[in-house]
Amino acid sequence: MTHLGYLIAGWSVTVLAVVGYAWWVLARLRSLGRRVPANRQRWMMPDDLTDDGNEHTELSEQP
Amino acid sequence: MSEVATDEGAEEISGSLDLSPRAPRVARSGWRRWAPALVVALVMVMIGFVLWRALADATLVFREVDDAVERRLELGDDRFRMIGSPVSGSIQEIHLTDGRPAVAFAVVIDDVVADVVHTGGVSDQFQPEVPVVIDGRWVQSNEFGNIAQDGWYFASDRMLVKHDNDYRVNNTERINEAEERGQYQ
Amino acid sequence: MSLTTVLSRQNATQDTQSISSSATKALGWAALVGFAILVVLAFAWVPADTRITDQGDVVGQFDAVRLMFVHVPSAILAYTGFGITFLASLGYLRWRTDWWDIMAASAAEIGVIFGVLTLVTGSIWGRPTWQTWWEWGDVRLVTTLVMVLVFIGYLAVRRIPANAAVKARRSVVIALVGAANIVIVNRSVDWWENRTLHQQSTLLARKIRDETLFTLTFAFVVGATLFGWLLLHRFRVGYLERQITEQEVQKAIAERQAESAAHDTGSLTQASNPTGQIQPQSKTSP
Repeated sequence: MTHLGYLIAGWSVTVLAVVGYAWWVLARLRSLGRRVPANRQRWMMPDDLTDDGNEHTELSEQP
Repeated sequence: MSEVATDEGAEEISGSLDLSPRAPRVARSGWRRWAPALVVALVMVMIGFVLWRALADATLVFREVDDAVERRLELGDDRFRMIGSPVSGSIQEIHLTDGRPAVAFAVVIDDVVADVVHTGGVSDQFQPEVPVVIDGRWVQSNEFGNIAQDGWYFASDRMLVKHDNDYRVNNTERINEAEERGQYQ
Repeated sequence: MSLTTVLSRQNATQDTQSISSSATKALGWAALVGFAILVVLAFAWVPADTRITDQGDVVGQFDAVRLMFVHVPSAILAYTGFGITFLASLGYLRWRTDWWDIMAASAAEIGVIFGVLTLVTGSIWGRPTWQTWWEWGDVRLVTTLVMVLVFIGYLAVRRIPANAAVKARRSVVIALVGAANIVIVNRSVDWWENRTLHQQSTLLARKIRDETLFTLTFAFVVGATLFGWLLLHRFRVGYLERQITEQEVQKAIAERQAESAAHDTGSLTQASNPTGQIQPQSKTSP
């Protein structure tokens, strides 16, 4: 196979960058997930939030 | 203390509720506070540098062989880049009068041919019919009479290859035969 | 609260008890398996790039062409990330919700990752094919670098301390400027053909052999799957960061109210908040 060094370099850097980034995202997600109550970790839809990031219904229900 | 309360109830509230800003509990360290602004400044400097370098090199437009031949007298001994396809069968290794090795070949575009004497490194992809961009200048000399038959040759010292966008296969059987002969592996 | 809302929230809560839902896990596994298949296709099935000239010379990029399957999808995914940032920024301008702002930031970050990969893999591919790692006068290379730098700047601007709405507005401006560059990058090989070593589009010209085309298309599918997985998870990170900020703001408000209640008994608290509920704030600063 010709250009083997270039092939290894190109494919390796791609795999390492993507895996490294995915790993960082998962670690951050895990870390943040521990700090937010489960009932506030639900999936967010565009209409759920206002400009200020508050959820209309849930805020008024906070004790 | 807030001074914006206008009605009686609000004045009463502002009078007892301390609305003055508090120091954040976890103050951001100096580095964390300024790092983003520094990155923005750095990015702006880098963009400026990139554009400056790009504009500085912008004169290095690739002149096609036919254009370069037509403007040969006008170009004089200006340095420029020329693009053309090496003519199959024209590539040969030579030695200059001072003994340095060189590669002589012809490049063509639209049936206009120019002779080239190249003294720099040769790309792995330097192949017949694969366009090359060569960096150099016109020379009028009889030094290579057998190569520069019209008395002109393009003296280049840098070669880049501009591969085209064609990834189709042709003559599969002949390629297999060439592979078996060890023409490439 | 209606029954359907309760049920949908319950389901949603169950889905996000872990960091991934079953759907995103499936997406992640699909990307992994797809990538493994892509490696096999790229190295074992696709033939080397070789052509034979009329004079019998064997020419081509040979095995270096296998870098195409990481370089081209990286470029497409970078465009996609920056394109989504552009569209989400327009969405923010129209609807002014955090959803669009988080989406824009998440896509920009992923776009930068793939943009840098495009430059690096392009450079690695350029050395054996063009005989150079980098050319400053090459419009395709330079405009791509500027595009990536603009979006790195976009991400940095978002981290400069400011009110959330101010940050979002600054970001929108940069995203719109950066998006204009996407068109320049993409069209540069046609607009300035004699100022770039980069080839013109192979796919649009249909100058590609079947195995290479199939594998490249498969690489796009794997890339899209991977991009979707990354975007979903990065979006969740952004969402959780906002939730934490919101919690901290609410906690601070509650503490202030508790302090004021301690200073003044009864009547004052009644006047400021007759229902005893925490009122939504008009602006929050993360």
